[in-house]
Amino acid sequence: MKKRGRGLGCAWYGTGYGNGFPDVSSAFVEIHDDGSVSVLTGAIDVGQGSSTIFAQIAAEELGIDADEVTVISGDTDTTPDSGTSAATRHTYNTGNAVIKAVTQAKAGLLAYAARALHCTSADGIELKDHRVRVKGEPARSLPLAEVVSQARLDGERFLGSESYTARTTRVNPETGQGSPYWPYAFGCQVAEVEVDTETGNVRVLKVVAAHDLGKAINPLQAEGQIAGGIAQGVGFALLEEVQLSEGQIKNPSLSQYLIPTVLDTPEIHAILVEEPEETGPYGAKGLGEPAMLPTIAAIVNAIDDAVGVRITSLPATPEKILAALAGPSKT
Amino acid sequence: MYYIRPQTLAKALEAGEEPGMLYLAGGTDLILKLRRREVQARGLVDLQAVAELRQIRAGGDWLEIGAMVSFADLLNNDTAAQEARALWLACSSMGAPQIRNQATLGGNLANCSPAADSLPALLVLQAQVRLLSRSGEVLLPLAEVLGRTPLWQPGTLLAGFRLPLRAGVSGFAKLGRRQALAIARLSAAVALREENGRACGVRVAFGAAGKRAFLSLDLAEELNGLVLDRGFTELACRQAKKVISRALGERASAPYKKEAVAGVVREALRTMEFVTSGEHADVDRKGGRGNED
Repeated sequence: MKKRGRGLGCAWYGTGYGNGFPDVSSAFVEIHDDGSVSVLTGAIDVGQGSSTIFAQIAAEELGIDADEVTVISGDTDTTPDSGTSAATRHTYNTGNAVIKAVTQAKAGLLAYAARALHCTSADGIELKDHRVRVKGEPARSLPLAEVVSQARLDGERFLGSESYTARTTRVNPETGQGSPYWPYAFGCQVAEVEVDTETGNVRVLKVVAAHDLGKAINPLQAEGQIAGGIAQGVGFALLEEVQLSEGQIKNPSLSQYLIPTVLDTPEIHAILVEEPEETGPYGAKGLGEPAMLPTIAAIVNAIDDAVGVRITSLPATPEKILAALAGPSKT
Repeated sequence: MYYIRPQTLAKALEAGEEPGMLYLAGGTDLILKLRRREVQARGLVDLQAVAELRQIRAGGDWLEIGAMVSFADLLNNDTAAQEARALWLACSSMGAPQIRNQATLGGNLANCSPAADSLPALLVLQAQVRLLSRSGEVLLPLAEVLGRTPLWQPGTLLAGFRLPLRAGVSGFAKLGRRQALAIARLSAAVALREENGRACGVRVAFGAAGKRAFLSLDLAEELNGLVLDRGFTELACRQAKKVISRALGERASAPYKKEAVAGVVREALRTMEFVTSGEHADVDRKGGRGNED
């Protein structure tokens, strides 16, 4: 018989290296005389989309389009170290470094533009729609590329070189007090599963996932990260297991170590919760790892809801479920 | 290594008779075995260009399926979908689209993995196997071929399968660890004719429960003549546990498989194109998931 159940999983996750370890990201920025920009950073985009985020951040700060930003990343000959693509840290940590570096490059540009536009202070200048404008008086404006190009002929260069360090502290081993991570990410998911009581097979039908990411700088990528996290969570909960025998891995290939296929991936409904993180770029914080964490508990709880058995070791294989069903029933 | 790609059956047979030459069908198993050095060959006779081996033909009382028909070819054939439903379902459950495009039904038998997806279905569909050699052509029941080791003598070319048309309804289900690219952990195929609400000519076969797919004559006998109602399904599921328990003996997988087979047989019956009881009324014809409660 096939029975359905629903389960809830919640997660909180400290992003970044944490516990007072220096978590440093760096970026170099140059504004070019055609109005385009280069961002150099050691942060590696392994598919999670960090380079896109950095392009969006630089473009937002300079009033240009993201496709006018060239992000050069992960080249040890040319890019400054930004640490690992790990710990759900690049949007927050390296994103902050990019903002700081762009702000530095932009400061020189604003000062030059104030003179060119006969404005008494750089504070009165803004960059918008590819133009350098006097705030409150949009008619007084010049094309960004023209200003940068003229500045270049006058010997000006608009460069930025900055770092950002996350503000964590070591935990006091006596009191347990401290600020070991900054910021924290939160997520909650509900899974609906169908369990076959004869075969023990579990199908995850649907997952609804709500995640606090501060600010969705790229909502499509955020939904993609949630979908990817849930697919990995399904694998963690139901399939993935490194089998060891006397120290040797018995299933060292993807034909033996099974991960979910697209047909095993449930319908996914992502809810982006934007509770601003005041230290993050535009209020943003990381989402990558937190997206898979609640899935596992949600699925295991949904199995319990469906057939009344508590699975306490992963993966929750059909064998374990049948054995639990055959055992003494839960009161 | 030699590589030959003949265009005719005669040329293929001639090339295959040379010592150490192996026939290459889709290669989804053979190439891996060669790479792992589990199989040695002087050369390969690629059958891809022999047009006769790639046909599906319905004529008279028979459905002819060439050995080089791919899983995808079979899935795209309407006659096969209707007349050989168990086989169609088995093909749809195998691998993923890329593998189904490449892998062939002939190769599935020649490789003869315990978990070969097509074999339980071909068994219940009463497939005969067409074998060619220098001494001519023979047609043998698949069940008989599966009883031999090796399946056939060197120099023999598997040309295809012959299935009787209008032989009743059939179904298939498979237990895998995931929904695609899953090796069968257990599979079941069922075929029967309905006469006055009773089951006639019942055939049940299992895969991945022993060295090779097999027909269970005991189970077929117990089900023959019974009224096709919910009780039929329950009896089939219950008795299948005994069959699998006997087939697997003390194997490590036995405790799980002898229980799980009930769910597999239930699913196989559910995929058949007729309603055996009220509970099957909403069954998706393509064998999709139905909700029983």
